[in-house]
Amino acid sequence: MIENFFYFFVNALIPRTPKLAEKYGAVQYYGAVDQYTDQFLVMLLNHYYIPMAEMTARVMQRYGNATGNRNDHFLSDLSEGELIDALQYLERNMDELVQAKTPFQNDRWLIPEILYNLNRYTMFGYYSEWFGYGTTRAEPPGRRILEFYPLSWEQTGYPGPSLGYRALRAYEI
Amino acid sequence: MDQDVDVIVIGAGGGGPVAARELGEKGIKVLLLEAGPWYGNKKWPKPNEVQGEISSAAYEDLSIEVLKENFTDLEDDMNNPVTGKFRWGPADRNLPPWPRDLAQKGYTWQSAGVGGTTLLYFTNSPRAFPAAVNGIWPISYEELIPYYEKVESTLPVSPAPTTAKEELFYYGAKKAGWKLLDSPNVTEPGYRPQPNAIYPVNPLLSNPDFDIRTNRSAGCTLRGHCVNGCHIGPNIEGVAKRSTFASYVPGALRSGNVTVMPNTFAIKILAEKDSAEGLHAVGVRIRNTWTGKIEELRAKTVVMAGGSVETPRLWLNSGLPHNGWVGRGLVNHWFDCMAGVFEEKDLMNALGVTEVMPFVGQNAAARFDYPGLGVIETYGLTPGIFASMLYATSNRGFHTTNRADGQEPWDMEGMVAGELLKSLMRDYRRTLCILIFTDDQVNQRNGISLSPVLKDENGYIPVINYQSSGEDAGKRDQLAVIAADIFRKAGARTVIRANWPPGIFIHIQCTMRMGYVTDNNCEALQVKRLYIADNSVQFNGLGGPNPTLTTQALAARTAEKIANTYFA
Ligand SMILES: Cc1cc2nc3c(=O)[nH]c(=O)nc-3n(C[C@H](O)[C@H](O)[C@H](O)COP(=O)(O)OP(=O)(O)OC[C@H]3O[C@@H](n4cnc5c(N)ncnc54)[C@H](O)[C@@H]3O)c2cc1C
Repeated sequence: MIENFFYFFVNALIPRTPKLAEKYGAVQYYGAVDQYTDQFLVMLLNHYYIPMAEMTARVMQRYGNATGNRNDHFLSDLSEGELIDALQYLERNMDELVQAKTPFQNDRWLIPEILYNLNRYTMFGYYSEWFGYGTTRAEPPGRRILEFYPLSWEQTGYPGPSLGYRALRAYEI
Repeated sequence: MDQDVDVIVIGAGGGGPVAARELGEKGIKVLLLEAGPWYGNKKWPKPNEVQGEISSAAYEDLSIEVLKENFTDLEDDMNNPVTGKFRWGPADRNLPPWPRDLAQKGYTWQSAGVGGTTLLYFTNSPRAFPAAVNGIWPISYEELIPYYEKVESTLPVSPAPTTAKEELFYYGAKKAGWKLLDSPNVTEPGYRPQPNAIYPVNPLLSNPDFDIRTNRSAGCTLRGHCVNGCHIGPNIEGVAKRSTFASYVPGALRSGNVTVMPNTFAIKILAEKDSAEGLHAVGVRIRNTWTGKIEELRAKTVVMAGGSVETPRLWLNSGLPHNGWVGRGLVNHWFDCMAGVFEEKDLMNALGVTEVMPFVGQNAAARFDYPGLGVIETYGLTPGIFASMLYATSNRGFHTTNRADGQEPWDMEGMVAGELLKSLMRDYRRTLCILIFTDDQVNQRNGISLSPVLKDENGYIPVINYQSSGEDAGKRDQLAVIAADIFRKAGARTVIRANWPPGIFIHIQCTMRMGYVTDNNCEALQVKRLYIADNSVQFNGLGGPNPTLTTQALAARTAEKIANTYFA
């Protein structure tokens, strides 16, 4: 269930894009699920002070179900337009969640912060080097090795880290 | 009572090392405590993996090789807010980050470690707007000038070089009718190269025989990794970007009077009362972040420089006297983020090249100042941080819920997802981003308090709360209109406004204000021998300019006051 939630969540935000691929080349097809950005999110959330992935998924799912979205298929099985509508819907209702936050409930106080930052974490994970850690992706950060560059870098034209560019145009303006 | 040292400085970020070095150079014995790790010191070859030694006081311990092994230029490794090397958390990345209770939409962006948040800052080092200081602060702008000059020459600060992204901004600003500013004391609106604390561009860079892979010479190489950690240079003190770990800390060690102790969290200020001085600081209780060992250290004077969240938190957790302004008055310049996306032909027309290249050049190298409103500045970053700032952060939800009604001068407002996100990220190389810093106003309602229930190993955790005012919103909107016009004049095809929520904390200031919590010398009004030398002591948000240079100027001044008052 948790895995499903994050899978559909990242897929809604950064989907596969066949149309872009047709126009601009095959690499534009791939989306967040191809780079396992859902796993990135789960690892990140579980590294908080209190492991948060499951609770985040539960809160979001319950919230989605309670307010009329399709049972069990929350964020899944939807067209791209519907997916974005669903994300918008969540976004709007996060304010309510924050207001409903009870500071004395020890296990839930991080929820609003996490919900508010899920989109950021997803884009950060997808467009950073993380996918390129390949077989070492799930290792603790100190033990990872960058095995290749992520597809997302090719999609954006980011050439990877650099030691310098001969790019000086002027000092005077 | 025996003293371990003369002065204990808590926090080796933007302000602490300035105070430590200035004191050390006057022959005063200083212990500089830092909660996070130390990158670039032989005593901690693997600062995130093994505990290493307790402290270092020798310039010779510094090592550019160790720095290069640790600064990988990779944004998840360096900047991940939860597991990155530049996070608010202990050195051991198997442990979680230190928790905070942010009572609103947003996030705090700070780093522990020798260098503090300057490990990742952009180095923009403008002075305050004189009009935001004169007649408002308890001290005058003129009184700050010699300290500004001292810090500017020590770091040093110089005008930033122009690459494509800056030139495009200047081109638009000029066409929009704004003038080029040439004074560091800004009294009218206009644009200018950033005064950056980065060594000038390495002259060898234009030499075709220059081997960039083996380069160990001094000077910026325009590689665009300021935020991911700069390691370019012959040695630590020669690193191009002048984070305090490369500028003030090596100088402090060279004085022979400063010891730096990383992995050490100050959890309590120790204060005692006597008839001569009343309540006064006598030392600090510390906790080692690897072993959990707790100790007490004594000193004649204590300087708090843990930043605008931790300094009031430490005051409150220490049970020091109540003061209605401790933790209060927080400003954060209520940022916004905007971008212009350009077509190749329009760039060709403006610049003679077809791309903006946001990953090339110093991260933030051009600015526009408007006393009374705030600041607009360009930035370009690696794609993960870039996307999360521009397309994943908004107070207004997704852009599709904010359909432009033809009134706004931008084409889109809010977050972007789906095919459009990927399509816009395809335009990454042709996108110019700016940040807006609002001249937001101090309000006692805003600030840091202690959670009544949530504790970590260092005490009750801070609750952070900031609400903007209607006046702030008006200024910010005016700056957004000006920025949109600059983008249009530069030829942008699409102008995007993210519209960030007020709860994003990047410039965190004014929670221990001079005149309210401290006297004009930055000594606490209610606790003698306790000084403040970080962003928290600023009286207001400076009118919008980036805060660090002013904190550093004040820290240099405070060191002088401490020496004159207690070590004359
Ligand atoms: C992405 C980014 C870009 C920025 N760019 C700029 C810029 O270009 N120009 C500018 O002026 N500003 C910039 N800033 C802001 C700048 O980083 C801060 O203004 C500056 O670092 C503040 O200095 P400080 O001393 O108040 O706090 P910090 O630099 O945060 O330092 C506080 C230090 O104290 C340590 N500490 C805290 N509590 C304790 C404790 N109890 N015991 C021991 N140690 C403790 C922390 O670990 C930290 O190292 C930027 C910030 C970010 C996030």
